[in-house]
Amino acid sequence: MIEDRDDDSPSEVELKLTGDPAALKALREAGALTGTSGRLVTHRLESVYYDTPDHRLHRRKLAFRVRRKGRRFIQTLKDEGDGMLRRGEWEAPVASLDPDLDALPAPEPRHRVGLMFPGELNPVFASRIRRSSRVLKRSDGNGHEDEIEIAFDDGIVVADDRSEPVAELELELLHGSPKALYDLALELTDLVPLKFETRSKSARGYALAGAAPEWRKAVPLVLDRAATGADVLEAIVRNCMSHWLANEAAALDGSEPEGVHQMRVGLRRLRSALSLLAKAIPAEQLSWLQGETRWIAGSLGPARDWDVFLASLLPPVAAARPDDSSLPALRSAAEAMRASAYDHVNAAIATPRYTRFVLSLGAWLEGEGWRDGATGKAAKWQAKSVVELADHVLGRQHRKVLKLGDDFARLPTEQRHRVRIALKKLRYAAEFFRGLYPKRRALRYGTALAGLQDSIGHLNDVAVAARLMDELNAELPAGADPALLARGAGTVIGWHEHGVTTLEPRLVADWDAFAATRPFWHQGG
Amino acid sequence: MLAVLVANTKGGCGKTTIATQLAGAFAKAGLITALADADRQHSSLEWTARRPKETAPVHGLDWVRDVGKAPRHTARLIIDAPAAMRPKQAEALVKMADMIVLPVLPSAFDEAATARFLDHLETIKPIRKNKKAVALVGNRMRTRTRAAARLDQYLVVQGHQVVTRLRDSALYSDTAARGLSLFDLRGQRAENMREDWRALLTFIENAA
Repeated sequence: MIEDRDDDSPSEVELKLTGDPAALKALREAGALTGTSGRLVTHRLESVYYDTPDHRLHRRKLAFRVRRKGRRFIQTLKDEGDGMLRRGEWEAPVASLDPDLDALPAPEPRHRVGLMFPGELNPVFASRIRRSSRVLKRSDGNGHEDEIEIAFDDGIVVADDRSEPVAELELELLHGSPKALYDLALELTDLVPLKFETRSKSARGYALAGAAPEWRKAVPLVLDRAATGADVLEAIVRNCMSHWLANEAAALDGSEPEGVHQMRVGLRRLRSALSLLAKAIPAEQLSWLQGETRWIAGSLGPARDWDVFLASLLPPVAAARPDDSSLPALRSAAEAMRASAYDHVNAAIATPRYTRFVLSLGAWLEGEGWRDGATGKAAKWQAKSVVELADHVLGRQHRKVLKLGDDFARLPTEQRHRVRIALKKLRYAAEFFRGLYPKRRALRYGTALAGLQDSIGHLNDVAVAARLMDELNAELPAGADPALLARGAGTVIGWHEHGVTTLEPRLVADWDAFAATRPFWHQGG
Repeated sequence: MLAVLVANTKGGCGKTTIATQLAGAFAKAGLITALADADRQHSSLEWTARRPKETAPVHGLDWVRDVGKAPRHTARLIIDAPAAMRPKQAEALVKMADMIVLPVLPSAFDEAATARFLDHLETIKPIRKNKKAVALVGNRMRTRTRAAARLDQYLVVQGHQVVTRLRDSALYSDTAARGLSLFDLRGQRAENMREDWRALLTFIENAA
């Protein structure tokens, strides 16, 4: 089920890479790419992007521009698409660099722009790019030919008095399989170091114009009841990959904790899916996927922990003890640790390993890699109906949680952590599959599960606080007073440990409520 | 689709005027627009029927008996609520809408009735939980009168968003009679009056 666009709206399928300007120039001149290529054509593109003073179009996930190309003017509206390759794109010729709403096809996408008062749309930022492009034709070895336009963009993005250089490589699919874009990107990244760019030029322009870094929550999964296990695997991987990549830019920026948080959630959802659907994935592929996602998630962990410490664990203690000087000292030290953790995030994402994995995962997704070498068990599970698969997965994980949490009131903390982790996986499973079941029942189950997760999450606060304070102790920032920080650390840990004690009756009640909630899937599977 | 409910249990405060002007604004802007009339008097519905062929069309819907549906591809739905609304009808209409526009006239009688209506709205969950915006619009304002100053004060005190103050003008009755809106007219006078609507239209667009 490669075709996931459910309407015929115009769209572009494009992959963007960034790299060192000199390296890109060398690549442009080289022409050392397999396949037949046309001649290199260069154009100067000047684009002006328009929006209301409060960026209403941007909030609607739209980018609206007019581009001058030679003597022609082309107006383009783009939406966010899946955040990876595909975006909705509507183009029309216009008379000048000024926007012309009447040139937008109606009702789509005219409706998305909505009503604009005269003078409400103004330039927000502009780009001046020298684009050198050529068309590459390549056969994929299976008798199909792919046609890709490879464009080297060199120039700047400008907003008021701020500007940023642009050095990018865009691969646009003109004909053939989207997998070809990833394959070509992987080849190119063998020649020079390149990075998969998640931000469009308009996203970069808005950032320059002062917009806050964008972050995204998970998009609910829409599953077709007639789908198979393979379809579900594809839909979930696509959804989670999109979720993770949509938050990469905010994670790199670091000013908005939701960036790292949501990127981690996207990766966790993906890892849960790999575990829940392990039987449908050939063993070697599973091992590769689990290994690389574990590495990326691990590199984000410390940044997330320090964000949580600074935003949730420390403030209530500091508010209760305004005269305790160890707490502001602890805050400064924690901020230094957080900065270092974010450096680590940036370093990991900048590695060739990260880019290779993103591109390889994309190729696996678009090429339905799970079918390769799928024998016996994997083939069987890939062919199963989605409802049967969902019933099986949900039933199994639900039973696992109940077993781990048996006699919950008397469980030691260690064991309760295992329940917490199994519960998280169950939560993601319930979210993946709930579209297949009656809404009310699924909602009731989800509410009981979320309530329990909330309570049991506080156990984790204590564990995280303790771990972070140990880390701090081992890596004291310069000029820090160990004794003062140690006192602060003890206060914070003690505070949250006590919190857990007072929460105990509520936690047990939440467990009982959850354990008593009826499953919303079909049992006996 | 974005649905805007124009409502106030106080009669005569300009609901139909506001509903038809909003419909005209969205239609003229190139958006597929529908105007649903839940009032037995059918003033909005008759306005849509009077609409000249060469103007941007507004689809009229009769919702007197029941909350109905809007045509497919409708981008903006304006709902003209009746003054005498039963609580259940009010709730059904509020549920349908993405936001509520509440016209208020500068008069003491209006203030009391509006306060009661606002209190009733607060009992409806999505409004109480701030999930649906309520935009207060001062209507038929003559500036620099004592009544206008009082209304300004009153609106601020209500705690809901005072979005705009519409000046009184003969253009409103003129356009109503001809099945038009300010947004269909040319000329400086109409352009001037249209400025009063900028804040409300922006407020509505920001909810879309």
